[in-house]
Amino acid sequence: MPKKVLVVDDEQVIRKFLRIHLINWGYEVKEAMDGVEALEQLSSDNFDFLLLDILMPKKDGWRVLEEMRSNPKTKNIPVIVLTAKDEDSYMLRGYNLGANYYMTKPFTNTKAQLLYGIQLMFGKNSESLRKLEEKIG
Amino acid sequence: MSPATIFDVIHEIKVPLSGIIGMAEVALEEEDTSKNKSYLMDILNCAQKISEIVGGLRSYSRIAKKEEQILVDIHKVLEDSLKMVRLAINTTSVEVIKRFQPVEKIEANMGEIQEVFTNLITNAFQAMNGKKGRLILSTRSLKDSIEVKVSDNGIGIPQKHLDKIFDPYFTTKNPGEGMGLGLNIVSRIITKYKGTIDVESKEGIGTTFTIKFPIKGDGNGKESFGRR
Repeated sequence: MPKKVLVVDDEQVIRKFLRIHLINWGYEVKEAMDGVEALEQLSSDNFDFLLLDILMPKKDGWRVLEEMRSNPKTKNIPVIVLTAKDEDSYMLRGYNLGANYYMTKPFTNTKAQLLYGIQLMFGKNSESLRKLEEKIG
Repeated sequence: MSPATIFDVIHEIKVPLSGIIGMAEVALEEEDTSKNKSYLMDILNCAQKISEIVGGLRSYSRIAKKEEQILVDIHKVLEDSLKMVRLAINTTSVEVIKRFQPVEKIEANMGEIQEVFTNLITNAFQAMNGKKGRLILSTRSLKDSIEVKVSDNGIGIPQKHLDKIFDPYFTTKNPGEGMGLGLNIVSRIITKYKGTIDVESKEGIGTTFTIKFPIKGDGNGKESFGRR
């Protein structure tokens, strides 16, 4: 059974290219366009990991992450944070709230960056991680 | 433009830029070329968003560059400031109500007056934090001044902070969201034109900033800063 991913971003175009990559890699992809919708899907479905934007209407990514980590059903789901906020303080906040990897917009070499984050979360071999690190720079 | 607004504009550019890079990467790898038209449309839409933002910045910098004082139409400044802020931050869930009465023009530097209202409107939107909110912009003419109010029904300012909000570097925002200079700049610009700014705020109810700019007297020796 393919791994199921929830892509949460209020920008349709961002969801679109992430979905294309993930589907090409064999994942099943669901989408949410704001934090409220993401939490609804998390409560009614099971996901293997999340790609989560931070600045979104209705409920931002920080609150989604907080609520996920305090809910027994979702507290262990790996999360890759996607955001244009690239200051250290934001990344620290993300990791403190339980993010597993942090991708900053504008993504360069999206595919390699995303693969790196996924492999990091699921503990793939260090050689392929090293190759991806070289690609990301 | 305040550092916080610049930060927001940068953020707004990064998002469509991600779309351009991401979709171009997808298009380069796509073997089925019939799909590329849709990817190119996405790229074009993102580029157009960036173009709009850059266009807004260009007209802003053109205004800000001019140092001369002109007769400033406060309603036009409010409209332009609103447009500028809407380019920079997500304001879709906020209802904007304009209650404009005929008011005198004021003699001032257009860029500075725009900076006042860009800052106040940005703060108002941020106080409503993307939630369903209401921004009211109102103007009226008083005996010897014009009055502009910027009201929101956002989170409000705690009582203990009200006397510090115009101090330089005072901020309750998260790191990276602003350096606490916005309201200090606002206050300094208004003081330069011998105007006043007052704030009323209640936590959970909202905030109203009231700005008054003096206008020209009717020959009785009053100081002259505004004209009809």
